[in-house]
Amino acid sequence: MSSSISTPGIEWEIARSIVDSEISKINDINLQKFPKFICNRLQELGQKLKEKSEQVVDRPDLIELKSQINFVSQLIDLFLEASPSRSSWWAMPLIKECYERCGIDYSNRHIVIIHSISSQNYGVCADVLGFLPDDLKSSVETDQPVDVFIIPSEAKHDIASIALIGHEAGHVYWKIKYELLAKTLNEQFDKTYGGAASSSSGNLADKRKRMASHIQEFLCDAIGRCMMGPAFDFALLKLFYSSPDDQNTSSKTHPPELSRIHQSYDSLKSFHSASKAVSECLGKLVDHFAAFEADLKSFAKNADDLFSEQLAESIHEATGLASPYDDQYLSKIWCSVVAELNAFRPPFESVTSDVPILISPTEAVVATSLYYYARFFVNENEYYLHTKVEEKQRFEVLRMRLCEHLRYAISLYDFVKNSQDRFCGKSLDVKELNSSLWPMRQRESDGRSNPFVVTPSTNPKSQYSSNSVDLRLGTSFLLNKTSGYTHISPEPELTHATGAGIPLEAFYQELFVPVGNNFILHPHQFVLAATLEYICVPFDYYALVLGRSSWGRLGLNIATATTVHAGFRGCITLELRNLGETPLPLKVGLRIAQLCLISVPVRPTSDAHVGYFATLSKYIGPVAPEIPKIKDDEDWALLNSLSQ
Amino acid sequence: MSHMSLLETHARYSVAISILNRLRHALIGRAHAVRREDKEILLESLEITESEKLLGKMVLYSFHGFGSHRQAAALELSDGVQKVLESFADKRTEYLNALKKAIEFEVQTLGEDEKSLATELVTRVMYVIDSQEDVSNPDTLIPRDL
Repeated sequence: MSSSISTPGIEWEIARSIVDSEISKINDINLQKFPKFICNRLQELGQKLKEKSEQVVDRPDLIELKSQINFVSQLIDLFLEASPSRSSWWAMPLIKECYERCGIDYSNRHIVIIHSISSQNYGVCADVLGFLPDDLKSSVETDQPVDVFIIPSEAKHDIASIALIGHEAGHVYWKIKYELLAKTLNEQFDKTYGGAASSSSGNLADKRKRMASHIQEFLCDAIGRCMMGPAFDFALLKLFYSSPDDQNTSSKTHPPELSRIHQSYDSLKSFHSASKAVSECLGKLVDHFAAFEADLKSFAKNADDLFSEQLAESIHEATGLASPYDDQYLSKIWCSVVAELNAFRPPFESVTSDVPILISPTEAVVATSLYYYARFFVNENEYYLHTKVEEKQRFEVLRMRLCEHLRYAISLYDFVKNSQDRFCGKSLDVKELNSSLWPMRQRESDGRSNPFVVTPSTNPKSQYSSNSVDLRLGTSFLLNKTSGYTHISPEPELTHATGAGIPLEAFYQELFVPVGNNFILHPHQFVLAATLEYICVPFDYYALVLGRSSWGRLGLNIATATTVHAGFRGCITLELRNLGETPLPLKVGLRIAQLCLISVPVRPTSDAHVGYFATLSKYIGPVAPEIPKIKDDEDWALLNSLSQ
Repeated sequence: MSHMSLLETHARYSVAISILNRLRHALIGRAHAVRREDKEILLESLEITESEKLLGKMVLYSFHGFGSHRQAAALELSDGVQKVLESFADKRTEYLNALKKAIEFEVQTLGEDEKSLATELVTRVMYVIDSQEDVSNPDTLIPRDL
């Protein structure tokens, strides 16, 4: 572009206005806590666009700038949707495990996760900065590709859909392994369609593009199947079950849904297990989609679709990626995960008094999908069996908590794995823990399992003593914020004339801080936090949460309501307050509190084991601090009736 | 269309348009010569345009997200040139010859008529490629990744 202009023309005005809007979006992104190099890179990108806009002198120059802006804008919009402080970064260990299983070295890649509130679908952009035009590329090249994963907010409420991440990991795999793909493709396309080129090159070009897209989807499904086994097939079928599209025909970019339904339905039926329970669950998953049978019978693939599908199959075979989900493996992961789910615990590890056995994110996703969608919990889950709430609410609470527990276990996997590799491997002699509370992890009373569990286990030797267990600071915080309301009212709605009905949510803001990062607690600030560990208190003990004296000396107060009831399950909410005069950086994952176990003064009754679930407690199995639920107290109705 | 496809589509169009604009600058005397790397991609795009059979590269470039999006811009350039030439079938040979000469030889060796024809073709192709970034296409607005 030409560089010398005397008076800015209309082209310059247009150029600056479109560039300035992108720069203002970049400034918004920089307010969020992205890795520093991404912020720097985007800042530099804004500067380069500004320089380019200065050089625009005619209409074609504007067209060039606009085409670059189109790309940059798409890129910036991706980042704008992400919010690391409240996002889906819980999925990071799952993505890393998928990479590992595919043979992708994730230590050489940056992963950014976008918690999308606008998209209902998962998505991925592999090596996103690699697509930048040469003249907008960084002068300081980053040698690490950045992969952006888009996770819809619906994933928070849908256990099955988590398995679809396997498909997205497939897109990254094929971006890296494109040479293998190219070789086979060129051979097969030439063989099948080469001769027809001269007569209808236009049609052939369209066909080629269309089939190229279709093959990619089949290939990524195959990867998803390797990563997540039956959970992937179930998730895909579930996704298509509600699809309003015509499932018989293909789009420009996707093969007919019935082709993929066919593959997933057949694949789901092909899984078997040495365990009778797992086999029955697999059968029930298939039964959900019996309605597809008739559609599949009348579905005839056309020659191009068949070619794409078969070519994808042969290319996938050449990768050597095999599914680990055979009879034995499915039974193994089922045994380790279901024991945790039945006990209403996040599936971090197999809890015994022996050395803990870690559960990986993919194992947790597969087993939890089977457990929930085959309705296995109905006769086994401790909450579901013992709660006194009505059927529909019981089902809803279980669904919500299973989802939260699964996401929580996935989110902490990297930290737990690293800790266990260091402190719980061969170096851990559980006999040395015999004089601590550790053996209570496997304990029975009156013929019933009645353990004291603190999970995940990260460093038992330093955490466990004879009467207490040290607890770590968790990743979720609820901060007080200012609102337009005059005051905070704990009262339920419509029971009182003044102030009632003010939503408590208006006074709290959620914040997620990854393990190893600091949360800065300012002088006299009050925040709700939670312990990183999930606690199961036996029904014949209660517990006290106490601060550690070292933190107390720095001015940190960790709890005002310190009693944890017998039978409690969940992460314990901490009411943090900085009583000192200087800000306190609190590193998430540090030991911050201790839990002392005390025997209950009265002998538990025979049905004490159901006590916690049957009490209609307001806080059942939380994994993060929750806003006060004092409005649920029955006393309000009585007291308000007296005041009237 | 996946997010990756959408992003790469924009990237390919952007590369193609930038290459054409740099060629245009050389043709109207704002730049001295066409870059060697631009020449390679432009020649490749002409090869695809005139090819009588399916080229391996065409197949590969049809896949979004694989390989070099810069190289793959040759496919978008070829599509753009093809579309312009279809609309101006009577001037097809003159346009193509002028463009080839502009790419293969120094721009200074072209006659004024040839420069004018090549510039016109390049500008038209830029507009055609730009017009393909049509946001009214529902596939573009709602990327489908699964």
